[in-house]
Amino acid sequence: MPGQRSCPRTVFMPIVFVVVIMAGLSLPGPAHAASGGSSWVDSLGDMLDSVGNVLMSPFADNSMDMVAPPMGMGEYREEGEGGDPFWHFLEEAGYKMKEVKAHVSLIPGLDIEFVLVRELSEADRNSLERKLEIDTKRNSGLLPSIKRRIIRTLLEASDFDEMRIEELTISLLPLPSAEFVLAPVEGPLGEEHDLLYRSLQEMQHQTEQLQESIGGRKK
Amino acid sequence: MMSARSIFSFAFVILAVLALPAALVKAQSTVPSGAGQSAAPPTADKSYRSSLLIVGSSTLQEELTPLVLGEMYRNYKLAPATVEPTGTGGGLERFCAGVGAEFPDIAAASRKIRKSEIEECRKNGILQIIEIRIGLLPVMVVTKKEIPTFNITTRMFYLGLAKELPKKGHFDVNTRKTWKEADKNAPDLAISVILPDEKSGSRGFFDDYFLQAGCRHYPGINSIYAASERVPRCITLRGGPQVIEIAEPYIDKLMGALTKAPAGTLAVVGELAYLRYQDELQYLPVNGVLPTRENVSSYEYAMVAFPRYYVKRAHMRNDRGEGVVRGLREFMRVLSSEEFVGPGGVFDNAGLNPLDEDEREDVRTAVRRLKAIKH
Repeated sequence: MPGQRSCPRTVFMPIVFVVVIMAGLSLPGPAHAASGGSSWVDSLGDMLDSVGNVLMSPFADNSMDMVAPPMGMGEYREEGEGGDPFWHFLEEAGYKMKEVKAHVSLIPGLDIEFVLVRELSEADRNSLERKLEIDTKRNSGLLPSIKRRIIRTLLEASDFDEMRIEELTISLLPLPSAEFVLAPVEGPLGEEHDLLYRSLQEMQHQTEQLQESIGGRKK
Repeated sequence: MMSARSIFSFAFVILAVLALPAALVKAQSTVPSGAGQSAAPPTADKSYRSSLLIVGSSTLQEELTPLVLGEMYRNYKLAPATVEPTGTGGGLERFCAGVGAEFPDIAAASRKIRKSEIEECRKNGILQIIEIRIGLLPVMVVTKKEIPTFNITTRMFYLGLAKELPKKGHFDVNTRKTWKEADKNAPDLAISVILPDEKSGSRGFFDDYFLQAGCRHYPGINSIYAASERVPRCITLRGGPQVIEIAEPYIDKLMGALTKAPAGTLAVVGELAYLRYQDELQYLPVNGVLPTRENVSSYEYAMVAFPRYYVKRAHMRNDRGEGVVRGLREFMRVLSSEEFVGPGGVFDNAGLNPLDEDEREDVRTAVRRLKAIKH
């Protein structure tokens, strides 16, 4: 019934409320500190931008496999300009998005689930640590530091010998948080699985070649 | 009853005895400010070896270690150290071999110690290693001056130098002969690169920051889950004329190798090596960024190593003067001092970019507290 529907304003109110709370929690960075009285306005603007980026980034960039290895500040800046570097850091940490869960209520919720698709090498870890160090120098707010904390936890966990974080759920609303699922390394998705997967890929490739050659002969 | 003369004599002796410690303190205060308590030779030196044994990176051993030792000898009475340029890998191998007078006290490294090397150290009883980062050292891609330069990328290095490349679910032998085949924007120039051999820290850096970075997220490589299987695919180099490997001392042999190599050959060197031959060499932009001092300090240029020294805590002497060798604290103190690592300091003048202020202070705190690296 039309009378029972909540109007759009009521739906957006909690979102605005959450954004304002998050803006209040965000610590001013050096640029904001320098700007004096209007810093909270800038903070709020930045927060809205960053929440927008956070929500849009994983959907905007679907060409992660083709990303050339960015490492310096130059490339880092490009990443930052294109979206939140957090998603790039997650990719670098070996995680890929699996699904998005959203629920609408008085306090809306948005969870993004990631799975581990790549075990990190020592060089991968060092490279990511370096990027986090650069990010620390550039972004000093609370939200970026929470995000870096999440990535650092993943990095530390990637160094465990017997356990690994196989699933990761990032909740963006009402406040950013992360849930980690630790599983034994000797699980069903071990190196044997990886070898099996690539053997199947190779077999598929050979089958395709065979089909092509048969097709060629028929012509 | 004592005579007046006897009383005066006795009082003089007492005064002299009381004044002696004060005189000794004054004698000790001639040690330069900032020097530590162990500056004055101990009453009984119970060291097992008379001088420091320093191994590791050829570049650091030739360019920087002598500067630190020179300052140490000016401030402290120490026997001349034994300095062996073994390359970072070789140096850390010897450093981690054990504790005792026959093993090195310090390893100079142009890259971070690897997890496997820390494990080896632990296995051999070296439980506490103090790390002293001393600056930023860009690793450059150079060529001879008369050759036109071009932008080189980490992806081009991987595609040009890897032994095998992924192709539709399997790996094929790399047959690329020119840089243009690796990147359509590159010149039609034969692929030829001079690299240090595997014992060199610069080579380790090249493997990690050029080759692994170049193959990261490359289709076909990205689908390999296990790092133990993926990494060799990225860093195993092809044979043939495309790769010229040189053993240590790399810097000394570099110019000879470049002269013999085909025109357009590239070489990978640390900045200190480049500075030695800067009249004959020019650097190339890597991933579109030139390795200028500004770009290095602002982290625009990514190929930056953090050279460091690793010091064995177990070789330090205790309060009774017992231990493997004397001079480790003095070495660390000079090495981390602002006069050496700060802007305009000795290392800066030698061509090493300073760390930022916070990082330098962190290093000095680690030295003061003898803080060991995490295992």
